[in-house]
Amino acid sequence: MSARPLPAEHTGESDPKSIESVHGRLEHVWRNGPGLWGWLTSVNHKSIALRSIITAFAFFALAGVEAALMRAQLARPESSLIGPDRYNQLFTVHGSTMMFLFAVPMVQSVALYFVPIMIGTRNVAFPRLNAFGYWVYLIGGVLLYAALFTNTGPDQGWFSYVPLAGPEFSPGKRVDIWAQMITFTEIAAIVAAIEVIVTVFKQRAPGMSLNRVPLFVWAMVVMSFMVLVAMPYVATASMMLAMDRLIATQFFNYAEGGDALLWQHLFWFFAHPEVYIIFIPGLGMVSSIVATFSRRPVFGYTAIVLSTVSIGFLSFGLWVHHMFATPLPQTGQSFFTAASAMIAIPTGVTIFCWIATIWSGRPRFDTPMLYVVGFIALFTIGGLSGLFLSAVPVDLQLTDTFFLPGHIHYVLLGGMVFPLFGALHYWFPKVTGRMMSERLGKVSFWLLFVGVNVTFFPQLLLGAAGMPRRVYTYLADTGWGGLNLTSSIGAGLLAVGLLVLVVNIARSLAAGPPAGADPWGGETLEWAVSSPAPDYNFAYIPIVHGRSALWADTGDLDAVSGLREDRREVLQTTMLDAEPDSRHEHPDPTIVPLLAALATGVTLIWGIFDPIGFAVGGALTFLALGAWGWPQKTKPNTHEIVEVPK
Amino acid sequence: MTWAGSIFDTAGGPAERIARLTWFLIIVSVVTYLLLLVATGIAMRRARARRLREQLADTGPDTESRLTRNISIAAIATTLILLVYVTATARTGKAIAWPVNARQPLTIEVTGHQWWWQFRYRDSVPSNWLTTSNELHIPVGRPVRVILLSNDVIHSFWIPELHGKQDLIPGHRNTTWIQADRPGVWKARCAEFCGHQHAKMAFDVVAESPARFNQWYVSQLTSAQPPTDSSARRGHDVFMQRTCIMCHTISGTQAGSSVGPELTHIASRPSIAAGTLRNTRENLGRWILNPQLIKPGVRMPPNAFPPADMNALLDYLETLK
Amino acid sequence: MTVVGEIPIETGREAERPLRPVVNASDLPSVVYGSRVVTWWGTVGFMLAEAATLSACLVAYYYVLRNYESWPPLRTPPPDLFVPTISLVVLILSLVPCYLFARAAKRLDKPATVRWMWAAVVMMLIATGLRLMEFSSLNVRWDANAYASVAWAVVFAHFTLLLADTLETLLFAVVMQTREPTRYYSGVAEDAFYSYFMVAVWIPCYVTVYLVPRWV
Repeated sequence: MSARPLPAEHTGESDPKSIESVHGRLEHVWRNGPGLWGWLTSVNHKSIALRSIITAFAFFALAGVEAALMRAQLARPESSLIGPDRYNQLFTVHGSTMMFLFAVPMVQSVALYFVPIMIGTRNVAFPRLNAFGYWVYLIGGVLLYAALFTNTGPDQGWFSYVPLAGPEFSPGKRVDIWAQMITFTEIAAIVAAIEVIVTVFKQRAPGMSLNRVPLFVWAMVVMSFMVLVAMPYVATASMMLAMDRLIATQFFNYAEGGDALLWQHLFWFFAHPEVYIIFIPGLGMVSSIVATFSRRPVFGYTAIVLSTVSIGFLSFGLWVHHMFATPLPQTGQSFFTAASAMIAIPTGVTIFCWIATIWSGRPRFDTPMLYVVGFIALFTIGGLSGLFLSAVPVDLQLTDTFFLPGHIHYVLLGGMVFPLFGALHYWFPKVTGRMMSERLGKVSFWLLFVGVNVTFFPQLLLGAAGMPRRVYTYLADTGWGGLNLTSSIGAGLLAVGLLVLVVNIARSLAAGPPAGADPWGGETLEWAVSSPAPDYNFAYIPIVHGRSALWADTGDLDAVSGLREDRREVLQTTMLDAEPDSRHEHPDPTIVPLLAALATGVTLIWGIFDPIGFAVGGALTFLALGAWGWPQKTKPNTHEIVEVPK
Repeated sequence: MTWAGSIFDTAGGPAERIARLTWFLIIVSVVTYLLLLVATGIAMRRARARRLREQLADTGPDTESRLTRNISIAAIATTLILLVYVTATARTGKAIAWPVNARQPLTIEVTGHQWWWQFRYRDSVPSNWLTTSNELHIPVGRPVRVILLSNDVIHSFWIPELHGKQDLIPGHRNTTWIQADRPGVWKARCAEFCGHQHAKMAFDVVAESPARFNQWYVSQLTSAQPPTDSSARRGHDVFMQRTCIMCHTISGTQAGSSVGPELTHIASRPSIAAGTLRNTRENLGRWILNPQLIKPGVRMPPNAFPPADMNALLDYLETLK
Repeated sequence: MTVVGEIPIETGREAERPLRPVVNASDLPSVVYGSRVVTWWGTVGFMLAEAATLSACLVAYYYVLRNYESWPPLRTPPPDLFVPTISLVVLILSLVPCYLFARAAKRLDKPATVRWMWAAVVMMLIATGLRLMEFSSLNVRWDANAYASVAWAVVFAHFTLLLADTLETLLFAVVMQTREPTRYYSGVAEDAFYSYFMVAVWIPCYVTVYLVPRWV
């Protein structure tokens, strides 16, 4: 790694025309192809992440409509608006959509958009794999909704307990479609997780040692490791369920030695970490917002990193708290009470550090920061209600009642959606180059904040009142009508709040004031580039000298030149200290990831109906992967420098 | 606290202890929440930036060490609260465990079906075992051991006034216990999603004095008497010659199938269709005519009996007290 | 210029933070090996996910085992040992050509790399064939009972890893044979790395499916 004097064309600083020509060359090399074909073949991380974010928002809207329908049905006792079959499909698809098609893909896509820019690189580590992951996710989502719209939507609950979901009690293909949707989204999630981990480990800007990595990036790395360990459990379980239904395996059939509780253990071993997989990125977003809007770096960087890692580990030890009403040994259950309580400590420490940041900073309560305060207010209610549920005796009264939807929506809306909406207002200028409306932002915030409370606090009370969950109706003499009506009115408020948010987005896209590179005065590298960032992110790879990259250096940023401008090349650095290590060529746009995703789709969808689908589709997938691995049309290797291991 | 039907409307030991713990948790939660809100509020009101992108806040080492100290105190306080929580929970857990030296417990085996409840009282004398459906009577002051089985999918047995719930899992034998300390009539519900009519799978619980319980028990053990009234006799024939006999039991008659609920004393039950309708002649008639209109998906088919047959059938069923 | 929040915001490219190149990366290597390459890390990521998948199958196996008085269940024969053990031995031996082609790749020796890759491909194809025979050595159909289902699950789940590795090695062998090899040497070395994992992770599976029924 030399520090010899640079050839003239690399010292752009003194010659503005030269920096323009660098931008021009990089733009030419890194842009997407034209038109529809360009869109289909893109391997640029921002293009793919943005379409994935939009897709996830679309699924959020669909799941929201399902929720609205459910609340309309439950607003009055013995309502005949929606019958049991349709209602069971609605709550199953609502839960499955929110968990598998919105929450995880959304946070991963936000990461795939911003993490590369925040760490100073040009693209994710595996551009084609990134594209493949998106298409697989899209196919899985379309599969689920094609089923719902043809009255074959899954109706066994998003947690799909056996034997109800087994071949005897759920005939037809509803459950199989659900199980396969899981496979699609699991593949996509694992792909995205590998992208985040490898990009962060190997492509950070020089000088960004691990203890200088932004907290959002840390959160996404921890979450990605969790995905790699947890997702395979639900995929294996759903595959076992699909096989019980398709080829008569006996995993869950007690008559042949199988066990209904096996499903619950496998599923919850995934599903408990899953909620932390959804929550931890929210923590990362809050860290980003709190720093910028308190005008100081987040207090307690090391404590927050250690807390995030502990939350990641601890979350794998809690799953039995979903099974307290099953015949598991009592002493074992008490362990899970203590473990569930323990995870509140790192979570609390993280929140205390943010409060300390605000306390010792110069806070400003623009919309993103309002959502942070809303997150603290709402998530804490969710967390405290969780303590009721981790105490075995109280759980036995409250589990499987409406207390649960109350609890989960406080933690999910408070802990993930609010940070997400805050991040939306915060990063919208970076993605689109325009500012959102502060006025509309505040209106939608308050509508949503009040709406969440009016919708879900009554549900906590309904649970204590004795109302079970997953019921399509209730009798008038239960006296639950009033609280249910209140909850449904709250849902209306939420809908209005979301509508205002959508209007804000639309108007801002069309005519919001131009944002410039750094409207908020942020500390991380994404604020160093134009809005939106160029396809190649940085003309030269920046060098960082501190934790807050842009606050440590005022004025010009030191940078690395010497990467090729006639082909796509990225800089790779060492894992711990981010010293420049090697250069790596990236692929040009290609249609192969889409073809491979389609082949995967054929395999998994055909396999729902006939096992031969796995074989034939598998062969097609192998061919597509072969085309993928096959060397692209070679350009002359004039600058290949090989360094063999000693 | 008598919020009828809720977990606070306690009528037995376990529910009472759980309600007490719940109240304790409510108080702890409210106090903790208020403290957090106050801290956040104070933080929000301190030196506020007037302009976007204002100068970065300078925090010296003193501030940083003060903040570290305060956060450590908060973390330790959190840990202590959680320790208290775990201890209180463990103590309650022990207090609600099955009383090991229970005197003369009653044993009831509950089998969950899609979408009704079967209760079998396992008296110490096998010939006194009683099977009934959708209505559970228990004597006040006596511990009841409940064995939980399932005929099909997972259900959950829950009487909020008496205890927390326990699941009925096919292939597993789960147990719980209840004890009523005062008389009462309550509605219990299935609490685990079990398919189409999970929402309408309830049962009536009647806790009464031991004397009245024994009276009820003895009368339940008696077989149905052959009807004397001519209309009821015709109704009896409708029952035995049409679809009813395929699924239901009326002890003392040829009807002995256990696919559906046991009907020997149907006329004495407060509700029908697993707690869905009050037990009136009109409701019973509607139910028999087309159960699918009331509980779509239920396993009982429509029965288009001509009105004369239906009236006779209802007359017969009304004799089954 | 735009005024937002009382501070004027520059727009356009002038708004970007200027970059001042002080370090030149053009003489950094472009082909490196092992953990210096992103695909190595990507492979490790997939290994983690695959190990989790196999662990889920093993968890299911041991969970179901607890439901039985005898294992295998009464009237279910235990699996044969002959073919599975030969298959295990072939798998382990296939690591020899893997090690050799990886070493040759690090020396940039194309003929040796290609030679040992084809040897590895042949051994893996034999291993794949033997694995297919192993399914009948289980002596029970997957739908007979839960024991059969979990045994098949473990063997089949690992079979997908074996298949993937065989096909990947085959692909690399063809590429090495027919293309200018410089940029593929490190990928070839990684392929060997994956093979070590694939065989190592089979050992607990072999023990579970073929030996545990004899010990329990």
